[in-house]
Amino acid sequence: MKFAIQKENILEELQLLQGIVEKRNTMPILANILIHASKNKIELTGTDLEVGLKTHFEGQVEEDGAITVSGKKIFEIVKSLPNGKMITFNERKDLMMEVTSGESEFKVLCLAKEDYPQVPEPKFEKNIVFPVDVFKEMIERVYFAIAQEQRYYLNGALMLIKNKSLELVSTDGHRLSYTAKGLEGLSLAEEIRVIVAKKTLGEVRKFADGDVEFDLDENNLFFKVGNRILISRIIESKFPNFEAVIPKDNPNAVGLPRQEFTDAIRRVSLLSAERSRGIKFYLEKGTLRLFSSNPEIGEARDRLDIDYIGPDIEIGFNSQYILDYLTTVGSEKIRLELKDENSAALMRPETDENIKSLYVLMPMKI
Amino acid sequence: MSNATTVERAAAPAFGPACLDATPAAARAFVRASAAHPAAPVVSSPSVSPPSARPAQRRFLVHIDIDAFFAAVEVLLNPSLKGKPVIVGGLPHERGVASTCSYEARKYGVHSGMNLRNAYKLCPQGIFVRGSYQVYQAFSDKFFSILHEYTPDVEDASLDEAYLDLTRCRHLYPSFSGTARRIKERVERETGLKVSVGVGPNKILAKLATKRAKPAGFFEVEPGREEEFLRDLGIESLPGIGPKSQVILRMLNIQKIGDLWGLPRTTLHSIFGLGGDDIYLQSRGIDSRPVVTSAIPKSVSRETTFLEDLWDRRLLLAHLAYLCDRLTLALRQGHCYAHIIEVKARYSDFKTEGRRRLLITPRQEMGDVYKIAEELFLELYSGSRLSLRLVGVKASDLVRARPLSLFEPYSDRQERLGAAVDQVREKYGFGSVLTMREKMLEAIYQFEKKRGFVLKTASLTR
Repeated sequence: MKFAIQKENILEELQLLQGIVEKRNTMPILANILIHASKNKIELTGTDLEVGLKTHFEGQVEEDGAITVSGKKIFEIVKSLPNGKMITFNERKDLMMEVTSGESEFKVLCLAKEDYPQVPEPKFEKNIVFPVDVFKEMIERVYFAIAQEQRYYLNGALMLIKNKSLELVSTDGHRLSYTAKGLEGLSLAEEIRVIVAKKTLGEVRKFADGDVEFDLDENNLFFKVGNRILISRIIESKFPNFEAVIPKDNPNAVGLPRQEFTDAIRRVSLLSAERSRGIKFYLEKGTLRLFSSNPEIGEARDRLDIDYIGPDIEIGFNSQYILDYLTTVGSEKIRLELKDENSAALMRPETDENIKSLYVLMPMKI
Repeated sequence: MSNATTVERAAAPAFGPACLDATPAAARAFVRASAAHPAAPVVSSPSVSPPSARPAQRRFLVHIDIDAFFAAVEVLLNPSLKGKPVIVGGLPHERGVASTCSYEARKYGVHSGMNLRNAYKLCPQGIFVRGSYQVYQAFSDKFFSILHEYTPDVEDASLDEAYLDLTRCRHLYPSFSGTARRIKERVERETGLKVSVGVGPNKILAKLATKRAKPAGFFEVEPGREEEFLRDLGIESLPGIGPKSQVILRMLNIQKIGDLWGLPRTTLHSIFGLGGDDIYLQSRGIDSRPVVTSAIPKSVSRETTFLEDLWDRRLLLAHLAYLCDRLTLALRQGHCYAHIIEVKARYSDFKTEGRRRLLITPRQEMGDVYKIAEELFLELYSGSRLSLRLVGVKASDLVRARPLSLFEPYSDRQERLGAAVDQVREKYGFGSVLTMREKMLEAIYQFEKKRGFVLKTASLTR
């Protein structure tokens, strides 16, 4: 295998592959990327067996062939070379690859391409296409509520592709974020319901705008944007029955100015207990009082004047969970709907936005 | 300022009372836990005392420690032991370690933490007692109730050791030293136990003063005399300097706290890391740690060594259940919920294994915790062909606030059950309510309705 390419044409692809290849040293070959060159097309592949990325671009291929090499090292080498220069990649007979550019010369140890895991090939026959920018914005609304700890909960979000709409749902067992967008271009006979890994969603966020072409087989999901295909193993798990926990008729509702509300919560949360971040809400006619205390530091209070006419409610929440939501929605006013101190609260923009979003939050006993 | 050391001490800051407490953190010391009592509802709790207008004001701290606590209680209950070497922890032929020994036993070289067999070799005439945790607990409760009459700012460092901050109560006491002496007299009169009392402007100096005062003495580090007090103390008296650190420092020819003053902070930091900073400050008598009255403990654990190795699964689970019962009682008393439950088992070959589980919803009730502990224990133990000599259960990652789960319907049944059991036990004793599984221990241990089963291992830590 031998090909030459300008630095700028390969650097970004190598950078994207950094996010994919395995960082823990469980299987050394997973830290590698597969480079495949034939007929003036160069294809790069990286995978950690859960999430994979395939990308291709044009280059001057002198000799067809394939090799695998450390994804991190090859990225660092390419990045270190001067901008605008041509770089030549040349496979030698002794499982080494030469990388040369101007006076710089590297010889890098490779592994045989036969050892590289098979990455599934998508067909893209279903003709499911939606805009990347919408998808990215929807991911933004659910990403933060995906469980941090894989051991605690499933590490992904539910994606529902319906006829003329796309929905994403995430939960960590204490809160749930739901987002939906009507998309006229989607036409499906049967709805698709799959769990997408958090890592995959994180990679999609890095893609440039355009259209996503989506496909799936029994085990994998495929997202194609331009010359890049993201391959994600389906998380084989049952997503909890989320429709059942979205409150339908919480009677005590109040509209809150998003910025003021966010600032007040930020202030009060400064003295909340470090582990639980709990703060207390006292909802009374015309006012919302906030309170936090930490036996090792002290206590904090704040107050907002609001339009509330319901009964007095005293309820605790994880302040971080509230801030997570408030910082992703754009609406000027937020609606908070409560039932009682033991039942789920619902938050949403007061006026419907371009993308629908609901946030369900369980209270905290403080 | 006098300079007793031969080492150059250019990098050391000026020594003296002015710098003792003049850290910004000293102000923080006043904003302390005392205001938010754990049992009090959050809103109605009195507001935290404001940072003092005089942040550099000298604090007045008392450290108080019961001398040879367990052994002293045994002597009190059985006066014929008076003047004899008493070793608490188990009988000489039994497994386990000495948890306390009387001053008479210490003369033979016996110390707490020592293997019982070794203790017997050193002191064959010693009187070995198994000890009873519940009795010690009762004495400890009395001890703390007296201390709380003098100030709300009491930190329980262990069953037999406390820090009192009298600063906030300065208007009540014309003389701090006099008050500290009165506390000592009262504790000794009302509990019958001897205590040592140290007085100083912060925790480290008060604690070192107690060390100087032992046994049964009183020592005050007077203002202006801190340097003199610290200079000749051995480096081993600083809490941050363990046996390994001692070896390193002795190689540098540093024997006394005064010798440490010559070492720049950066040197100590490069040898001991963050601990080096503590050594630097504490060796100069600088300590801004507040007296913490209701800090959430890092973890709560209960464990026991068996009288003889056990393999019977039902009996092992009975022990585990009893330990969980004790553990969850402590969690409820401390108003804590645990995010991590961990089970520990030590095999007859002394190999120790543990299993832990992270809980999405933190727990504090017996039913919940035992269920998890049992699963973990069976995961650990099934398949083993060895018998066990110890089991333990530990709750950690403790929180006061409990997040509710979206997918489990809210129920306070377990909570109400726990509260009801606690009430019955309050009135009729811990042993008045036990599960059938726990009752199986009747075959092995002495049972007392008031205290429950008298297990083998008593421990100084709560």
